[in-house]
Amino acid sequence: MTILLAQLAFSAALGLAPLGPSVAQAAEAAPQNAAQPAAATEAEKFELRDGDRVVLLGGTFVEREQQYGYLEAALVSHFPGRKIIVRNLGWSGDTVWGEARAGFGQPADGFKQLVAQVEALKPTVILAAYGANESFAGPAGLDAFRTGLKKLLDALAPTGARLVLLSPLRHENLGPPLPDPDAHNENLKLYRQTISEVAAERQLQFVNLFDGLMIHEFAAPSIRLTDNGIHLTAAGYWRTAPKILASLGLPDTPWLVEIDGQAGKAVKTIGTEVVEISHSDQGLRFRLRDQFVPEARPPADTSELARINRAGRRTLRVAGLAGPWTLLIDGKEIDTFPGEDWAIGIVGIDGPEVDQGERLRRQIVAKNELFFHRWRPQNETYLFGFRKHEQGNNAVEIPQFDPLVASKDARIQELTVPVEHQYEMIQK
Amino acid sequence: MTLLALWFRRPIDLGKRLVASRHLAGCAALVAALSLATSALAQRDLKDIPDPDPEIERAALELPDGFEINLFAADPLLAKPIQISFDPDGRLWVASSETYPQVKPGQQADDKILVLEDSDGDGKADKTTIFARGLLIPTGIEPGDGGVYVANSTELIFLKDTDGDGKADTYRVILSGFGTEDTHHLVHTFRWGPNGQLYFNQSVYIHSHLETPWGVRRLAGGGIWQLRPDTLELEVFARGLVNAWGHAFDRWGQSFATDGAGGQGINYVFPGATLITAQGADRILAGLNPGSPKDCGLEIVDGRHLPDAWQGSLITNDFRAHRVCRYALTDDGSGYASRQQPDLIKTKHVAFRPIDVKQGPDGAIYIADWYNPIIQHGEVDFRDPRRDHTHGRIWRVTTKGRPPVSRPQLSGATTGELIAALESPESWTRHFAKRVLKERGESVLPDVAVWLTELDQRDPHRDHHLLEGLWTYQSLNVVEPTLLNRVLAVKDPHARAAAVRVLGAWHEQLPDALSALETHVADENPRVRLEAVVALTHVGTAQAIQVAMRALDKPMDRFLDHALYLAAHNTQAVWLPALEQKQIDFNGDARHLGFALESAESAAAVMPLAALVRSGKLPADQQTGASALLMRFGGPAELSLVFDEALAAPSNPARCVELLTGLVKTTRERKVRPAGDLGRLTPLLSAADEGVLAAAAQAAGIWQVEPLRPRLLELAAGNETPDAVRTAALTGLAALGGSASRDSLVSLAGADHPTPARVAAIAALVSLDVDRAAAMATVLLVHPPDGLDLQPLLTALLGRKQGPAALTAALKGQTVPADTAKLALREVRDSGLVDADLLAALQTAGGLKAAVVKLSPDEMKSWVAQVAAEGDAARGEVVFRRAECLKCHSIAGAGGRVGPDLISIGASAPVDYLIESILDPSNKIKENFHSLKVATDAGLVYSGVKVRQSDQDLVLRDVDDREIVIPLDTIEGTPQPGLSLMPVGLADALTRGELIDMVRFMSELGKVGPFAVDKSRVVRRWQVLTNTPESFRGVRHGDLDLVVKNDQLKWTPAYSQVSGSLPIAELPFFELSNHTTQSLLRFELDVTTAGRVELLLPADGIFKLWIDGAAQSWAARLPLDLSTGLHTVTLVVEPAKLKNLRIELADVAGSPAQVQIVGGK
Repeated sequence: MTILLAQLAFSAALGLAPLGPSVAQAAEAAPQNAAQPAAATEAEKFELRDGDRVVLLGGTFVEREQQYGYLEAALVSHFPGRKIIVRNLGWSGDTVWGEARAGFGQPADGFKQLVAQVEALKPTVILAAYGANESFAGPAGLDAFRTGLKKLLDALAPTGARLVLLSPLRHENLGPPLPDPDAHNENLKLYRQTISEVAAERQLQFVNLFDGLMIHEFAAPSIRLTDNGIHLTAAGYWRTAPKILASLGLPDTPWLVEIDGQAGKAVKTIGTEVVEISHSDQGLRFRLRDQFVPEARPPADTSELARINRAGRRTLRVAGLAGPWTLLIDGKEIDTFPGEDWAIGIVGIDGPEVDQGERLRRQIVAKNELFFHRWRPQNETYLFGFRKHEQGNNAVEIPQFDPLVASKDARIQELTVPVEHQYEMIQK
Repeated sequence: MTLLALWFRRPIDLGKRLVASRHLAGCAALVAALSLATSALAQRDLKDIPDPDPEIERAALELPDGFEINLFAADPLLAKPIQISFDPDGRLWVASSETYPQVKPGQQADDKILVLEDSDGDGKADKTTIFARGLLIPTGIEPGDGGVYVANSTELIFLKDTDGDGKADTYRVILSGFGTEDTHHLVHTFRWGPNGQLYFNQSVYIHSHLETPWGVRRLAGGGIWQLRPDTLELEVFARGLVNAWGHAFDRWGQSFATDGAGGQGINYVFPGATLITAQGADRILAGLNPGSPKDCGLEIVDGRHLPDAWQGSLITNDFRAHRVCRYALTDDGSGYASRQQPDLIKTKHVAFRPIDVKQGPDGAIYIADWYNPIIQHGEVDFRDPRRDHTHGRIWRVTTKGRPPVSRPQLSGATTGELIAALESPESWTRHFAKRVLKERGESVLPDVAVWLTELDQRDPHRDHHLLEGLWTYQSLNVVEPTLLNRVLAVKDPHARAAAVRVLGAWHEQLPDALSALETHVADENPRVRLEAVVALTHVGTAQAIQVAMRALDKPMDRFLDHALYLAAHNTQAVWLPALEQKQIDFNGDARHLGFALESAESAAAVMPLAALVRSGKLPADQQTGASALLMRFGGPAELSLVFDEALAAPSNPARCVELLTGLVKTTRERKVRPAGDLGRLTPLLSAADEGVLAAAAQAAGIWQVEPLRPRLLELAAGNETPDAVRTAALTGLAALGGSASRDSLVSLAGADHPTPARVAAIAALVSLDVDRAAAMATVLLVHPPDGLDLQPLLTALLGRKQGPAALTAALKGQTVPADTAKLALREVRDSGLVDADLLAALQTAGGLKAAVVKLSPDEMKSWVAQVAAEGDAARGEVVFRRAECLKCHSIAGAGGRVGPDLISIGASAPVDYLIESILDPSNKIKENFHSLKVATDAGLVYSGVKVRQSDQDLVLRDVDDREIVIPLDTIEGTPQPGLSLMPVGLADALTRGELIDMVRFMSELGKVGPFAVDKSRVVRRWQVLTNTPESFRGVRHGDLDLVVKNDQLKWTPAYSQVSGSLPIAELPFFELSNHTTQSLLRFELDVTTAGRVELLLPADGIFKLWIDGAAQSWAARLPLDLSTGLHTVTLVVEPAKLKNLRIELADVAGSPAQVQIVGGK
């Protein structure tokens, strides 16, 4: 159970958020501050509508997200109950020219593949993350990249999908023997700039992953967000996902419940609704229905600082209690604190809502694995390629993944809808 | 479905299955059963799944005297082992997959990494731990760095147990982006190199795109990767091979690879080498055992537990034929020669599938047995119910009477003990001591340095100890120039060669690297020179490539030539500009410059090469290559140089023809012709030599030399004109074009001309007026005149894009005599350019039926049963030979290369597969034998199996075993996958009994028994002198010396039987005036290192013998002192006196000679 005193969270987060007059204010201020570094200065609010089909496009950054699901979970949980289908078409080594997708063809065939793969999914929204692989060509490759990006956007335009462009990540300095990233980061800046210019020309939303999103983490050597300087770890994805959303104009709403324990009244709520509140025999009882399903738990490799930084997302404050009081959710004991701590506020309330967030993420990962077997099956040579006259009969199995994927989609949709939970404060 | 699937696990015959499944589950089950019918078809003869009792299998394994085998581990402890690898504690790690070959919808893949321990040292595993599970077809494994590196389909992952419970609890993706186009090609064959880097392979269908912090690395097709895990520096070590599941380092750090689908035995692999299938490579380094079966896994064994003769032996697995094989290496110039030795294991047990091999800490040989009656999933259905998913064994082979090596304790050893272990006679111990030292970090280096300074000068292995020390530094990524210089100066060239490779890796940190390499590129030892060339390529500056060319000052060989070619070819973007700016001049040496420019193989090299040609300084032996390059890339001015050379070669008509033909081809493909006065052709059109005449006639046409039209007409119409010249003149006329040409050709095709002339005229007309030509061809088909040869006619029509359609249209409503239609159909089918519409049109016109025979399941069943009951392999071999199968297929490297080598076909392909392949060749096609159909912008169509593709050209092998080079620029559209090149209807001429015998013969090929090709070096590919009037005159007059030297006589290929004997009764013979008979035969020897060898000759019946035209006297063991290069051995035999014509090549003790018998067509 990761329940922390708001005070602790606050002091640990000193380097990251401005000082606030009270714990509560700090907790409330967090979302705005988290959104600040993101580059969505005048970005319009990003929205996913009922029936949207979202395609994620790019290299390893996108491809590996499918195994973690943090970004996808953050996206869909913002739109509870909407029928949204997300398909990860990330391909390691991908570029705007698509040569990583060429298969047995010539490199130029990869571009056709890239476009065909997107078109086949009839997307209404495309998030495209390019520039990281291209940036190794340095300034000399910049013009070709700009031309390639525009050509790709032109080729995707007929889908009619709303496009969002993501910049490459900053190359994290992990020290020797891995390469010193300074020179590469200079190049990455050039590519980021080009993407932002193209986005501006075309009035597309642009997410600046390079500058805004992880500047704190990159500055603090003890916190690694990448495994090798360029690829996010699980913790990196967990940490980055809400920031991408914030950059899209979708800051994650904090969760705050402030209750006057004496009066048995809700004083303030953010991100949730008190459906019912009453005194019980032993204490206080209230039912909550959240606005959104919260993010999944931090992965094991998440640094303590990052955990604490996010812990302030869920704060429960109950004034007017004395002695040790225990919180139960749905009858299950969560944790016990003295009344004065409850009055300051306890952050990181980790109950069934977070369970649901974690379940949502796991279903997304499971769906992604099934979809991967569907669109990039092994043995393509025999199933669909030039040896299909031998084993093409087994290709009938591949569409059998469709209903499996669809049932996961339905489950994901269900899991984006918050459900009511019974909270109880009892005196021990 | 579950019920159905369970039920299918039981092997029963197909007929019952179909009927029963209808009853079982109605319609849905029927669909499933039908889709499974193919699988049942494919393995119908494998009804009897062997009893899985390991003891039954063990008892069936045959080993040579002095060896024994025991079961180390077996199911249910492990299933389907794929790769095995030891750790420093002697534990055996196993990557295993029950999911292979394909995850099922809804199935959660649960493949495992297992750790087997033999804690009491009794040679049997007594503890099995599941280290990790939930993986998807893990195909590679290598413990190290406190965890284990694993290939997991698209990813290379690192699994680690951080809490000591024996199970992985962290999962780190090191690299991702490996292709998965084929699950037996997935990234595999992990192996630590002696330099501390991790090597792994991918196979020919895989396309990988891997992102690293140093940039993206891409590899399309087969190759070997090299990764330094701590820095994530990733490079392609070598490219090519088909499915290379074996890679091992010898004690000097040289790499060898085996290929599970390649057939060249052991491959010597130096850094950067391009081996067979390397994509985009113009030149390929061949393997060391051409014509050998395919091998999986590779280990180089040594140490005190094995006999002296086995030290350094290469152990690999012919998994198709259920054998574990051994090869021995010897130096051959800068490379190696490899000889296969008697098998380590052979068996008739059909489920024994050795696929990996490792030597253990005790000196024993451990073999991973995938245990499966079924191999492959390309040819055998993914879901074949008899595909085994649950069994697997690890076998342990030991020698009798030699104690096992006492197992070293390394991970707990002191640094001093580890350093001492670097002197161990066992490679295993040295390797793992170095691994442990590496993992302890740089703090071990001071002790290593002390050890190196204190080495005993008299220790015979001192140079090797120094090298181990150098590798320890390299493993830790610590540059140590003093030590490097010390090893570079040692006496043993193997150590010097290894040190030069280190020098190349460290060159950026060594200020004097280039001058050091300049010394070593002139080393007295060829392998050191080769390593210097490789290192200089790695340096890659113009200066470095200039230095590399100094290798040409010492003797070259095929390995050095390949390395030096790559050096110049791969770096041309650097040195060509430097050459132009006169920063380098290739040491002022025309040979150096010529080699570099010819190796560039690019347009950019043409200008300087032309200048070199004009200067007259180019060495004579580089002229041919220079001309070829000028024709490939040059403009009119450069072609004019080649034309000059052709005109200047009247005394050498063959050279003149070669150049003119090349120029004609250049003009056709690249639409460029020589500059200057082309009227200079005129005298050639009156040349005495037919070849010159023909080539000049073609040139006159394609170069549009209008004034020569009358002469072409004269040649085309002349009664005395030889056929080849007439055809060339007609082609020339067609190329001149216009209505004049058209009218001439139509007129020459008229009924008043002789039939061959008419045919040639129509064939030429195809390029000018395809419809008219098709109409005229149809007239010939409908009313075939005597002596009608359909081949040129149909070849012309089929080779033209609109040709088949035009002929199809012209045939509509026509009636062709049945026999003519049959001949035409045969030509179409044999052409490799099969057009379905045209086949149908010919069948209709001739009133014939389709030739493809599709057997019903019941028919197939009866055929398979008959093969087993009545087939006679010996009779079948006669049929096989008579059916001319060897025209396209080889056995043990002797024969055509259009189709797969059949050396072990019987051990891998089920009987019904063989029958189906003969009756319906396009139904199942072996990997790498799919044909491509390519159309060019000149309206031509080619068909063949892809040999290679470079940046410029696509190379196909056509149905006649010729390589066709098609410039990529000229290809229209995407080459289309075609059918098998194997003609349909081959079996038409065979009776059922003959076919049954032939299939039986093929099914025995490679199996233990008389039809397994033995390891001795026997002459298998011969040429025999055809009895023509010219040859008869020569032989009859008895001037055999002249006959042997006369290169105008017709020799035809002949091939030995599987036993190695050439059937005497099949020889063409000459009857002499004294009523005795004689036959003339010859074969070739390729000598790569000069020296003495012996030929083992028949005791009687050899009348006379020549080596390269010099007569020799006969001896049962004939010693030959051979210089490097090709040598021809010619024999005159008296068939009546010969009992058995079998000639073997044998080594002479102490001789350095490296000789191969030339195979091929």
